Amino acid sequence: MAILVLAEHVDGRLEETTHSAVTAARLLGRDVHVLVMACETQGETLSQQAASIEGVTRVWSVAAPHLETQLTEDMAAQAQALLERGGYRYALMSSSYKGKRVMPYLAALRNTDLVTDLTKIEGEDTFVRPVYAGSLLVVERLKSAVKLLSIRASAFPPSGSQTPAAPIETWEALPPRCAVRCLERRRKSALRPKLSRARIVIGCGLGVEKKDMPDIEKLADKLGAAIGVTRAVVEEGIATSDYLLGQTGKIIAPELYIAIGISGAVQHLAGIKDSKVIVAVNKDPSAPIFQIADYGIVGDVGEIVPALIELV
Amino acid sequence: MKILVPIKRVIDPSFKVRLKPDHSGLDMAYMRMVMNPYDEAALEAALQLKEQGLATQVLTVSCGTDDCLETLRTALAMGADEALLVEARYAMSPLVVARLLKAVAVREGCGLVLIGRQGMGNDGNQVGAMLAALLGWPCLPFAETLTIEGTNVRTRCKTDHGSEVLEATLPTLVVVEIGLAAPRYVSMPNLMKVKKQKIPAVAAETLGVDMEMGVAVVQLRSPPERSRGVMLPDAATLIERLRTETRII
Repeated sequence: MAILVLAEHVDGRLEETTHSAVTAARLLGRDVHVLVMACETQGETLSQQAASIEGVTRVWSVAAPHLETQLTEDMAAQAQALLERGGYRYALMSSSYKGKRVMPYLAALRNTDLVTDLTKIEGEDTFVRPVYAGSLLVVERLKSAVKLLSIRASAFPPSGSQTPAAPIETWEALPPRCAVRCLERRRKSALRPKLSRARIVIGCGLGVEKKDMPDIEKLADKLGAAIGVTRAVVEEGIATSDYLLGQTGKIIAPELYIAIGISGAVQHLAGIKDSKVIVAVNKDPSAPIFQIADYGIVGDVGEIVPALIELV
Repeated sequence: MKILVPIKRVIDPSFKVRLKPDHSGLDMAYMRMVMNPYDEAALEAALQLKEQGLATQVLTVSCGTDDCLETLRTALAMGADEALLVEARYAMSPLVVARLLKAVAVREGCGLVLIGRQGMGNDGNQVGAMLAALLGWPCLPFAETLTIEGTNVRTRCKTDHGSEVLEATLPTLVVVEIGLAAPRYVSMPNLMKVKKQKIPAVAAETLGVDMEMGVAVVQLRSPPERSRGVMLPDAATLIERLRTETRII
Protein backbone atom coordinates (compact mmCIF):
# COMPACT_ATOMS: atom_id res chain seq x y z
CA MET A 1 0.00 0.00 0.00
CA ALA A 2 1.32 3.40 -0.99
CA ILE A 3 1.28 6.93 0.39
CA LEU A 4 0.15 9.79 -1.81
CA VAL A 5 1.72 13.24 -1.41
CA LEU A 6 -0.05 16.18 -3.06
CA ALA A 7 2.67 18.41 -4.51
CA GLU A 8 2.68 22.19 -4.05
CA HIS A 9 4.45 24.48 -6.46
CA VAL A 10 4.84 28.10 -7.45
CA ASP A 11 6.44 29.68 -10.54
CA GLY A 12 7.35 26.31 -11.98
CA ARG A 13 9.22 25.17 -8.89
CA LEU A 14 8.16 22.63 -6.30
CA GLU A 15 7.74 24.17 -2.87
CA GLU A 16 9.98 22.95 -0.08
CA THR A 17 6.78 22.00 1.81
CA THR A 18 6.44 19.13 -0.69
CA HIS A 19 9.90 17.84 0.30
CA SER A 20 8.79 18.00 3.95
CA ALA A 21 5.58 16.13 3.15
CA VAL A 22 7.67 13.42 1.47
CA THR A 23 9.75 13.14 4.66
CA ALA A 24 6.55 12.60 6.66
CA ALA A 25 5.33 10.09 4.07
CA ARG A 26 8.56 8.11 4.38
CA LEU A 27 7.89 7.75 8.11
CA LEU A 28 4.60 6.05 7.19
CA GLY A 29 5.86 3.60 4.56
CA ARG A 30 8.24 2.89 1.72
CA ASP A 31 6.10 3.41 -1.37
CA VAL A 32 5.76 7.18 -1.73
CA HIS A 33 3.90 8.58 -4.73
CA VAL A 34 3.67 12.29 -5.55
CA LEU A 35 0.71 13.77 -7.40
CA VAL A 36 1.70 16.82 -9.46
CA MET A 37 -1.22 18.90 -10.74
CA ALA A 38 -0.12 21.73 -13.02
CA CYS A 39 -0.71 23.52 -16.29
CA GLU A 40 0.66 21.88 -19.44
CA THR A 41 3.73 24.10 -19.74
CA GLN A 42 4.96 23.34 -16.21
CA GLY A 43 3.76 19.76 -15.67
CA GLU A 44 6.83 18.08 -17.07
CA THR A 45 9.54 20.00 -15.21
CA LEU A 46 7.57 19.88 -11.95
CA SER A 47 7.13 16.12 -12.30
CA GLN A 48 10.86 15.73 -12.89
CA GLN A 49 11.57 17.75 -9.76
CA ALA A 50 9.16 15.55 -7.77
CA ALA A 51 10.70 12.35 -9.17
CA SER A 52 14.12 13.51 -7.92
CA ILE A 53 13.06 13.87 -4.28
CA GLU A 54 14.72 11.22 -2.14
CA GLY A 55 12.35 8.38 -1.29
CA VAL A 56 9.78 9.05 -4.02
CA THR A 57 8.89 5.84 -5.89
CA ARG A 58 6.43 7.16 -8.48
CA VAL A 59 5.12 10.48 -9.77
CA TRP A 60 1.63 10.96 -11.13
CA SER A 61 1.62 13.88 -13.51
CA VAL A 62 -1.69 15.54 -14.31
CA ALA A 63 -1.47 18.50 -16.67
CA ALA A 64 -4.30 20.66 -18.00
CA PRO A 65 -4.71 24.40 -18.60
CA HIS A 66 -7.28 24.85 -15.83
CA LEU A 67 -4.92 23.41 -13.19
CA GLU A 68 -2.81 26.56 -13.47
CA THR A 69 -5.06 28.33 -10.95
CA GLN A 70 -4.83 25.46 -8.42
CA LEU A 71 -8.45 25.82 -7.34
CA THR A 72 -9.66 23.78 -4.38
CA GLU A 73 -12.44 21.99 -6.25
CA ASP A 74 -10.21 20.85 -9.12
CA MET A 75 -7.31 19.71 -6.93
CA ALA A 76 -9.52 17.80 -4.50
CA ALA A 77 -11.49 16.08 -7.28
CA GLN A 78 -8.29 15.08 -9.04
CA ALA A 79 -6.78 13.62 -5.86
CA GLN A 80 -10.04 11.86 -5.09
CA ALA A 81 -10.01 10.21 -8.53
CA LEU A 82 -6.52 8.86 -7.90
CA LEU A 83 -7.39 7.62 -4.39
CA GLU A 84 -10.51 5.90 -5.78
CA ARG A 85 -8.23 3.93 -8.04
CA GLY A 86 -7.08 2.14 -4.90
CA GLY A 87 -3.78 1.07 -3.40
CA TYR A 88 -3.34 4.02 -1.02
CA ARG A 89 -3.31 4.03 2.77
CA TYR A 90 -2.52 7.70 3.27
CA ALA A 91 -2.83 10.98 1.42
CA LEU A 92 -1.06 14.03 2.73
CA MET A 93 0.00 17.57 2.06
CA SER A 94 1.54 20.38 4.10
CA SER A 95 -0.76 22.57 6.17
CA SER A 96 -0.01 25.63 4.04
CA TYR A 97 -2.89 27.86 2.94
CA LYS A 98 -3.27 25.52 -0.02
CA GLY A 99 -3.27 22.44 2.20
CA LYS A 100 -5.74 24.07 4.57
CA ARG A 101 -8.31 24.38 1.80
CA VAL A 102 -7.63 21.28 -0.30
CA MET A 103 -7.30 18.57 2.38
CA PRO A 104 -10.55 19.23 4.31
CA TYR A 105 -12.40 19.53 0.98
CA LEU A 106 -10.93 16.20 -0.13
CA ALA A 107 -11.82 14.65 3.25
CA ALA A 108 -15.45 15.70 2.87
CA LEU A 109 -15.55 14.31 -0.70
CA ARG A 110 -14.36 11.01 0.78
CA ASN A 111 -16.64 11.31 3.81
CA THR A 112 -13.73 10.87 6.25
CA ASP A 113 -12.25 12.94 9.04
CA LEU A 114 -8.65 14.08 8.86
CA VAL A 115 -5.86 15.27 11.15
CA THR A 116 -4.50 18.69 10.27
CA ASP A 117 -1.18 20.39 11.00
CA LEU A 118 0.35 17.38 12.71
CA THR A 119 3.90 17.70 14.05
CA LYS A 120 4.60 14.07 14.96
CA ILE A 121 3.66 10.61 13.76
CA GLU A 122 3.31 8.25 16.72
CA GLY A 123 1.99 5.17 14.99
CA GLU A 124 0.27 4.10 11.79
CA ASP A 125 -3.01 5.73 12.86
CA THR A 126 -1.87 8.01 15.70
CA PHE A 127 -0.77 11.60 15.21
CA VAL A 128 0.21 14.54 17.42
CA ARG A 129 -0.73 18.14 16.74
CA PRO A 130 -0.44 21.34 18.77
CA VAL A 131 -3.62 23.04 20.01
CA TYR A 132 -4.33 26.21 22.02
CA ALA A 133 -1.48 28.11 20.43
CA GLY A 134 0.91 25.29 21.25
CA SER A 135 0.06 25.31 24.96
CA LEU A 136 -1.06 21.69 24.60
CA LEU A 137 -0.55 18.75 22.30
CA VAL A 138 -3.43 16.50 21.31
CA VAL A 139 -2.89 12.91 20.24
CA GLU A 140 -5.53 11.79 17.73
CA ARG A 141 -6.34 8.44 16.14
CA LEU A 142 -7.83 8.19 12.66
CA LYS A 143 -10.14 5.31 11.85
CA SER A 144 -10.60 5.52 8.08
CA ALA A 145 -8.98 2.97 5.74
CA VAL A 146 -7.33 5.77 3.75
CA LYS A 147 -5.99 8.29 6.25
CA LEU A 148 -5.88 11.95 5.27
CA LEU A 149 -3.33 14.20 6.94
CA SER A 150 -1.83 17.62 6.69
CA ILE A 151 1.61 18.12 8.19
CA ARG A 152 3.30 21.17 9.66
CA ALA A 153 6.20 21.51 7.23
CA SER A 154 8.56 23.06 9.78
CA ALA A 155 8.32 19.90 11.91
CA PHE A 156 9.66 17.64 9.13
CA PRO A 157 13.07 18.43 7.55
CA PRO A 158 12.81 18.48 3.74
CA SER A 159 13.94 15.31 1.94
CA GLY A 160 17.02 15.58 -0.24
CA SER A 161 17.44 14.42 -3.82
CA GLN A 162 17.92 11.02 -5.47
CA THR A 163 19.33 9.55 -8.67
CA PRO A 164 18.03 7.80 -10.59
CA ALA A 165 14.74 9.65 -10.48
CA ALA A 166 11.47 7.79 -9.90
CA PRO A 167 9.29 6.87 -12.89
CA ILE A 168 6.73 9.43 -14.02
CA GLU A 169 3.29 8.38 -15.22
CA THR A 170 0.67 10.64 -16.66
CA TRP A 171 -2.86 10.54 -15.29
CA GLU A 172 -5.85 11.92 -17.05
CA ALA A 173 -7.08 15.37 -16.03
CA LEU A 174 -10.72 15.65 -15.03
CA PRO A 175 -12.75 18.38 -16.73
CA PRO A 176 -12.62 21.75 -14.89
CA ARG A 177 -15.24 22.16 -12.17
CA CYS A 178 -15.69 25.87 -13.00
CA ALA A 179 -17.20 26.58 -9.57
CA VAL A 180 -14.74 29.37 -8.80
CA ARG A 181 -13.10 31.85 -11.17
CA CYS A 182 -9.65 33.23 -10.43
CA LEU A 183 -9.52 36.83 -11.64
CA GLU A 184 -6.17 38.01 -10.37
CA ARG A 185 -3.16 36.79 -8.50
CA ARG A 186 -0.86 39.09 -6.58
CA ARG A 187 2.54 38.10 -5.24
CA LYS A 188 4.12 40.07 -2.50
CA SER A 189 7.50 41.42 -3.40
CA ALA A 190 10.22 39.00 -2.44
CA LEU A 191 13.21 41.17 -1.63
CA ARG A 192 14.03 39.09 1.42
CA PRO A 193 13.88 35.33 2.00
CA LYS A 194 10.39 33.94 2.59
CA LEU A 195 9.36 33.77 6.24
CA SER A 196 8.64 30.06 6.07
CA ARG A 197 12.04 29.24 4.58
CA ALA A 198 14.45 31.73 6.16
CA ARG A 199 17.27 30.40 8.36
CA ILE A 200 17.14 33.59 10.40
CA VAL A 201 14.00 35.59 11.20
CA ILE A 202 13.73 38.96 12.94
CA GLY A 203 10.42 39.50 14.71
CA CYS A 204 9.18 43.01 15.51
CA GLY A 205 6.68 43.86 18.24
CA LEU A 206 5.20 47.10 19.47
CA GLY A 207 8.53 48.01 21.06
CA VAL A 208 9.78 48.71 17.55
CA GLU A 209 8.77 52.17 16.41
CA LYS A 210 8.33 53.22 12.81
CA LYS A 211 11.61 55.17 12.97
CA ASP A 212 13.44 51.95 13.90
CA MET A 213 12.24 50.05 10.81
CA PRO A 214 15.03 51.17 8.42
CA ASP A 215 17.61 49.83 10.90
CA ILE A 216 15.68 46.57 11.34
CA GLU A 217 15.67 46.16 7.55
CA LYS A 218 19.38 46.92 7.38
CA LEU A 219 20.07 44.26 10.02
CA ALA A 220 17.84 41.76 8.17
CA ASP A 221 19.72 42.37 4.94
CA LYS A 222 23.09 41.91 6.64
CA LEU A 223 21.97 38.63 8.24
CA GLY A 224 20.03 37.41 5.18
CA ALA A 225 17.02 37.28 7.48
CA ALA A 226 13.27 37.48 6.90
CA ILE A 227 11.14 39.92 8.91
CA GLY A 228 7.96 39.00 10.77
CA VAL A 229 5.68 40.94 13.11
CA THR A 230 3.19 40.47 15.95
CA ARG A 231 -0.57 40.99 15.66
CA ALA A 232 -0.32 44.33 17.49
CA VAL A 233 2.00 45.63 14.77
CA VAL A 234 -0.48 44.52 12.08
CA GLU A 235 -3.29 46.25 13.96
CA GLU A 236 -1.23 49.45 14.15
CA GLY A 237 -1.06 49.34 10.35
CA ILE A 238 2.75 49.21 10.32
CA ALA A 239 2.83 45.87 8.45
CA THR A 240 0.30 43.70 6.62
CA SER A 241 -0.88 40.31 7.86
CA ASP A 242 1.40 38.65 5.28
CA TYR A 243 4.17 39.16 7.84
CA LEU A 244 2.17 38.03 10.87
CA LEU A 245 3.80 35.38 13.09
CA GLY A 246 1.75 33.42 15.60
CA GLN A 247 -1.43 31.46 16.15
CA THR A 248 -3.38 33.48 13.59
CA GLY A 249 -0.45 33.94 11.21
CA LYS A 250 2.57 31.95 10.14
CA ILE A 251 4.19 29.28 12.28
CA ILE A 252 7.92 29.04 11.73
CA ALA A 253 10.93 27.17 13.10
CA PRO A 254 14.08 28.93 11.87
CA GLU A 255 17.56 28.28 13.18
CA LEU A 256 17.63 31.71 14.79
CA TYR A 257 14.73 33.92 15.82
CA ILE A 258 15.51 37.44 17.04
CA ALA A 259 12.53 38.94 18.89
CA ILE A 260 12.85 42.72 19.02
CA GLY A 261 10.47 44.76 21.17
CA ILE A 262 8.19 41.73 21.57
CA SER A 263 6.71 41.10 25.01
CA GLY A 264 5.83 37.49 24.24
CA ALA A 265 2.05 36.92 24.27
CA VAL A 266 1.12 33.24 24.09
CA GLN A 267 -0.43 33.72 20.62
CA HIS A 268 2.85 35.05 19.27
CA LEU A 269 4.97 32.40 20.99
CA ALA A 270 2.80 29.77 19.25
CA GLY A 271 4.34 30.87 15.98
CA ILE A 272 8.00 30.91 16.94
CA LYS A 273 8.68 28.68 19.93
CA ASP A 274 10.03 25.81 17.86
CA SER A 275 12.89 28.02 16.62
CA LYS A 276 16.25 26.45 17.37
CA VAL A 277 17.72 29.51 19.07
CA ILE A 278 15.69 32.47 20.36
CA VAL A 279 17.18 35.89 21.09
CA ALA A 280 15.07 38.54 22.80
CA VAL A 281 15.70 42.29 22.96
CA ASN A 282 13.27 44.23 25.12
CA LYS A 283 13.48 47.23 27.42
CA ASP A 284 11.17 45.56 29.98
CA PRO A 285 13.15 43.00 32.02
CA SER A 286 9.91 41.28 33.09
CA ALA A 287 8.71 40.65 29.51
CA PRO A 288 7.53 37.01 29.20
CA ILE A 289 9.64 36.52 26.05
CA PHE A 290 12.71 36.28 28.31
CA GLN A 291 11.20 33.13 29.89
CA ILE A 292 11.77 31.18 26.68
CA ALA A 293 14.68 33.05 25.10
CA ASP A 294 18.10 31.42 24.95
CA TYR A 295 19.77 34.83 25.00
CA GLY A 296 18.22 38.03 26.30
CA ILE A 297 19.27 41.66 26.33
CA VAL A 298 17.41 44.29 28.31
CA GLY A 299 17.76 47.57 26.50
CA ASP A 300 16.52 50.11 24.04
CA VAL A 301 15.77 48.95 20.51
CA GLY A 302 17.08 52.25 19.10
CA GLU A 303 20.52 51.55 20.63
CA ILE A 304 20.88 47.78 20.34
CA VAL A 305 19.80 47.34 16.71
CA PRO A 306 22.39 49.86 15.35
CA ALA A 307 25.04 48.17 17.51
CA LEU A 308 24.12 44.79 16.04
CA ILE A 309 24.36 46.19 12.50
CA GLU A 310 27.90 47.33 13.25
CA LEU A 311 28.89 43.93 14.64
CA VAL A 312 27.59 41.48 12.03
CA MET B 1 -31.17 35.92 0.77
CA LYS B 2 -30.49 34.30 4.11
CA ILE B 3 -26.88 34.17 5.33
CA LEU B 4 -25.78 31.35 7.62
CA VAL B 5 -23.02 32.18 10.11
CA PRO B 6 -21.85 29.21 12.19
CA ILE B 7 -20.58 30.33 15.60
CA LYS B 8 -18.17 28.41 17.78
CA ARG B 9 -17.85 28.99 21.50
CA VAL B 10 -14.17 28.92 22.45
CA ILE B 11 -11.91 29.61 25.40
CA ASP B 12 -10.88 33.28 25.39
CA PRO B 13 -7.66 33.14 23.32
CA SER B 14 -5.91 35.47 25.77
CA PHE B 15 -6.16 32.82 28.50
CA LYS B 16 -3.36 30.31 28.95
CA VAL B 17 -4.81 26.81 28.79
CA ARG B 18 -3.55 24.10 31.14
CA LEU B 19 -4.21 20.42 31.73
CA LYS B 20 -5.87 19.12 34.89
CA PRO B 21 -3.24 17.59 37.19
CA ASP B 22 -4.43 14.06 36.23
CA HIS B 23 -4.24 14.96 32.49
CA SER B 24 -7.88 13.89 32.00
CA GLY B 25 -8.84 17.12 30.27
CA LEU B 26 -8.51 20.89 30.24
CA ASP B 27 -8.53 22.72 33.53
CA MET B 28 -11.57 24.92 32.95
CA ALA B 29 -11.40 26.73 36.29
CA TYR B 30 -11.09 30.51 35.78
CA MET B 31 -11.47 30.15 31.99
CA ARG B 32 -13.67 32.61 30.15
CA MET B 33 -15.63 31.54 27.07
CA VAL B 34 -16.12 33.86 24.08
CA MET B 35 -17.33 33.82 20.49
CA ASN B 36 -14.58 32.52 18.22
CA PRO B 37 -12.89 35.71 16.89
CA TYR B 38 -12.92 34.39 13.28
CA ASP B 39 -16.67 33.76 13.51
CA GLU B 40 -17.11 37.21 15.03
CA ALA B 41 -15.52 38.66 11.87
CA ALA B 42 -17.82 36.48 9.74
CA LEU B 43 -20.89 37.66 11.63
CA GLU B 44 -19.85 41.30 11.31
CA ALA B 45 -19.39 40.85 7.55
CA ALA B 46 -22.85 39.24 7.32
CA LEU B 47 -24.44 42.10 9.26
CA GLN B 48 -22.77 44.63 6.96
CA LEU B 49 -24.13 42.81 3.88
CA LYS B 50 -27.61 42.96 5.38
CA GLU B 51 -27.21 46.66 6.13
CA GLN B 52 -26.21 47.21 2.49
CA GLY B 53 -29.46 45.55 1.45
CA LEU B 54 -27.64 42.52 -0.02
CA ALA B 55 -29.18 40.04 2.41
CA THR B 56 -32.49 39.81 4.21
CA GLN B 57 -31.71 37.55 7.15
CA VAL B 58 -28.66 36.59 9.20
CA LEU B 59 -28.99 33.21 10.93
CA THR B 60 -26.37 32.16 13.47
CA VAL B 61 -26.02 28.55 14.54
CA SER B 62 -23.91 26.77 17.15
CA CYS B 63 -23.41 23.04 17.62
CA GLY B 64 -22.85 21.93 21.21
CA THR B 65 -24.28 22.03 24.72
CA ASP B 66 -26.71 24.68 25.96
CA ASP B 67 -23.69 26.68 27.20
CA CYS B 68 -23.59 27.89 23.59
CA LEU B 69 -26.82 29.82 24.19
CA GLU B 70 -24.79 32.56 25.85
CA THR B 71 -22.62 32.95 22.75
CA LEU B 72 -25.65 32.89 20.45
CA ARG B 73 -27.23 35.58 22.60
CA THR B 74 -24.14 37.75 22.00
CA ALA B 75 -24.68 37.16 18.27
CA LEU B 76 -28.28 38.34 18.58
CA ALA B 77 -27.11 41.40 20.53
CA MET B 78 -24.67 42.18 17.70
CA GLY B 79 -27.62 42.19 15.31
CA ALA B 80 -28.20 38.65 14.02
CA ASP B 81 -31.87 38.07 13.17
CA GLU B 82 -32.04 34.48 14.33
CA ALA B 83 -30.09 31.99 16.37
CA LEU B 84 -30.32 28.22 16.45
CA LEU B 85 -28.71 25.70 18.78
CA VAL B 86 -27.96 22.25 17.41
CA GLU B 87 -27.78 20.43 20.68
CA ALA B 88 -25.18 17.75 21.29
CA ARG B 89 -23.74 16.71 24.62
CA TYR B 90 -20.28 15.72 23.44
CA ALA B 91 -17.50 17.17 21.31
CA MET B 92 -18.01 16.30 17.65
CA SER B 93 -15.45 15.84 14.91
CA PRO B 94 -15.17 18.59 12.26
CA LEU B 95 -16.84 16.36 9.64
CA VAL B 96 -19.85 15.69 11.90
CA VAL B 97 -20.16 19.45 12.55
CA ALA B 98 -19.98 20.09 8.79
CA ARG B 99 -22.74 17.50 8.21
CA LEU B 100 -24.96 19.17 10.83
CA LEU B 101 -24.33 22.62 9.36
CA LYS B 102 -25.17 21.33 5.89
CA ALA B 103 -28.51 20.03 7.20
CA VAL B 104 -29.24 23.46 8.74
CA ALA B 105 -28.18 25.39 5.60
CA VAL B 106 -30.45 23.24 3.41
CA ARG B 107 -33.40 23.24 5.82
CA GLU B 108 -33.23 27.02 6.28
CA GLY B 109 -32.78 27.74 2.57
CA CYS B 110 -29.56 29.74 3.05
CA GLY B 111 -27.85 31.20 -0.03
CA LEU B 112 -24.51 32.18 1.51
CA VAL B 113 -22.40 30.76 4.34
CA LEU B 114 -19.81 32.94 6.05
CA ILE B 115 -17.64 30.84 8.35
CA GLY B 116 -14.47 31.58 10.33
CA ARG B 117 -11.29 29.99 9.04
CA GLN B 118 -10.58 28.14 12.28
CA GLY B 119 -11.90 27.71 15.77
CA MET B 120 -9.39 29.48 17.95
CA GLY B 121 -7.88 26.86 20.23
CA ASN B 122 -8.43 23.69 18.26
CA ASP B 123 -7.04 25.51 15.20
CA GLY B 124 -8.25 22.74 12.89
CA ASN B 125 -9.04 24.77 9.74
CA GLN B 126 -11.46 22.11 8.57
CA VAL B 127 -15.20 22.80 8.83
CA GLY B 128 -15.43 25.58 6.20
CA ALA B 129 -13.94 23.69 3.25
CA MET B 130 -15.71 20.49 4.35
CA LEU B 131 -19.09 22.23 4.44
CA ALA B 132 -18.54 23.67 0.94
CA ALA B 133 -17.73 20.18 -0.38
CA LEU B 134 -20.77 18.63 1.32
CA LEU B 135 -23.08 21.36 0.00
CA GLY B 136 -21.46 21.20 -3.43
CA TRP B 137 -21.07 24.97 -3.29
CA PRO B 138 -18.01 26.98 -4.44
CA CYS B 139 -15.49 27.56 -1.65
CA LEU B 140 -13.88 31.01 -1.43
CA PRO B 141 -11.13 30.40 1.12
CA PHE B 142 -9.38 32.83 3.49
CA ALA B 143 -11.29 35.93 2.40
CA GLU B 144 -9.88 39.31 3.42
CA THR B 145 -12.42 41.32 1.41
CA LEU B 146 -15.93 40.49 0.26
CA THR B 147 -18.25 42.15 -2.24
CA ILE B 148 -21.49 40.95 -3.79
CA GLU B 149 -22.87 42.24 -7.09
CA GLY B 150 -26.02 40.56 -8.27
CA THR B 151 -25.34 36.86 -7.85
CA ASN B 152 -21.55 37.27 -8.02
CA VAL B 153 -19.52 36.97 -4.85
CA ARG B 154 -16.01 38.35 -5.10
CA THR B 155 -13.27 37.98 -2.48
CA ARG B 156 -9.60 38.78 -2.13
CA CYS B 157 -8.19 35.59 -0.64
CA LYS B 158 -4.96 35.03 1.24
CA THR B 159 -2.53 32.58 -0.37
CA ASP B 160 0.90 31.24 0.54
CA HIS B 161 2.57 33.91 -1.58
CA GLY B 162 0.24 36.89 -1.40
CA SER B 163 -3.37 36.97 -2.45
CA GLU B 164 -5.75 36.22 -5.29
CA VAL B 165 -9.14 37.55 -6.34
CA LEU B 166 -11.70 34.77 -6.61
CA GLU B 167 -15.27 34.97 -7.82
CA ALA B 168 -18.19 32.55 -7.62
CA THR B 169 -21.91 32.56 -8.20
CA LEU B 170 -24.38 32.22 -5.34
CA PRO B 171 -25.00 29.98 -3.49
CA THR B 172 -21.44 30.16 -2.14
CA LEU B 173 -19.43 29.52 0.98
CA VAL B 174 -16.82 32.03 2.15
CA VAL B 175 -14.11 31.04 4.65
CA VAL B 176 -13.37 34.20 6.61
CA GLU B 177 -9.99 35.58 7.70
CA ILE B 178 -9.91 37.45 10.98
CA GLY B 179 -9.26 40.79 9.27
CA LEU B 180 -12.35 40.69 7.00
CA ALA B 181 -14.44 42.88 9.31
CA ALA B 182 -13.81 44.41 12.73
CA PRO B 183 -16.68 43.27 14.95
CA ARG B 184 -18.96 45.95 16.33
CA TYR B 185 -19.22 46.74 19.99
CA VAL B 186 -22.08 44.99 21.76
CA SER B 187 -23.93 47.57 23.82
CA MET B 188 -25.46 46.85 27.23
CA PRO B 189 -28.99 47.87 26.13
CA ASN B 190 -28.76 45.44 23.19
CA LEU B 191 -27.58 42.66 25.46
CA MET B 192 -30.48 43.37 27.85
CA LYS B 193 -32.93 43.33 24.92
CA VAL B 194 -32.00 39.77 23.93
CA LYS B 195 -31.55 38.48 27.48
CA LYS B 196 -34.97 36.86 27.64
CA GLN B 197 -35.22 35.96 23.96
CA LYS B 198 -36.00 32.29 23.46
CA ILE B 199 -33.42 30.59 21.24
CA PRO B 200 -34.76 27.52 19.46
CA ALA B 201 -32.85 24.25 19.81
CA VAL B 202 -32.88 21.06 17.79
CA ALA B 203 -31.27 17.82 18.91
CA ALA B 204 -28.35 16.94 16.62
CA GLU B 205 -29.68 13.38 16.30
CA THR B 206 -32.93 14.63 14.76
CA LEU B 207 -31.24 16.27 11.75
CA GLY B 208 -30.82 12.93 10.03
CA VAL B 209 -27.04 13.03 9.62
CA ASP B 210 -24.41 10.40 10.26
CA MET B 211 -23.01 11.14 13.75
CA GLU B 212 -20.19 8.57 13.48
CA MET B 213 -16.79 10.18 14.10
CA GLY B 214 -13.72 9.11 12.16
CA VAL B 215 -11.24 10.59 14.59
CA ALA B 216 -10.79 10.09 18.33
CA VAL B 217 -8.76 12.01 20.87
CA VAL B 218 -6.40 9.56 22.54
CA GLN B 219 -4.62 11.89 24.90
CA LEU B 220 -3.83 15.48 25.79
CA ARG B 221 -0.25 16.33 26.65
CA SER B 222 1.78 19.30 27.76
CA PRO B 223 4.54 20.15 25.29
CA PRO B 224 8.14 20.14 26.47
CA GLU B 225 8.88 23.54 27.98
CA ARG B 226 11.67 25.74 26.68
CA SER B 227 13.98 26.61 29.48
CA ARG B 228 15.02 30.12 30.27
CA GLY B 229 18.41 31.04 28.84
CA VAL B 230 20.93 33.67 29.89
CA MET B 231 20.75 37.45 30.06
CA LEU B 232 23.58 39.26 28.30
CA PRO B 233 24.84 42.78 28.96
CA ASP B 234 25.17 44.09 25.39
CA ALA B 235 25.05 43.54 21.64
CA ALA B 236 28.75 42.67 21.41
CA THR B 237 28.42 39.81 23.90
CA LEU B 238 25.36 38.53 22.04
CA ILE B 239 27.14 38.38 18.68
CA GLU B 240 30.17 36.76 20.32
CA ARG B 241 27.98 34.06 21.96
CA LEU B 242 25.96 33.45 18.78
CA ARG B 243 29.19 32.99 16.82
CA THR B 244 30.90 30.67 19.26
CA GLU B 245 27.98 28.71 20.74
CA THR B 246 25.44 28.42 17.93
CA ARG B 247 27.54 28.99 14.79
CA ILE B 248 24.43 30.24 13.03
CA ILE B 249 25.97 33.61 12.17
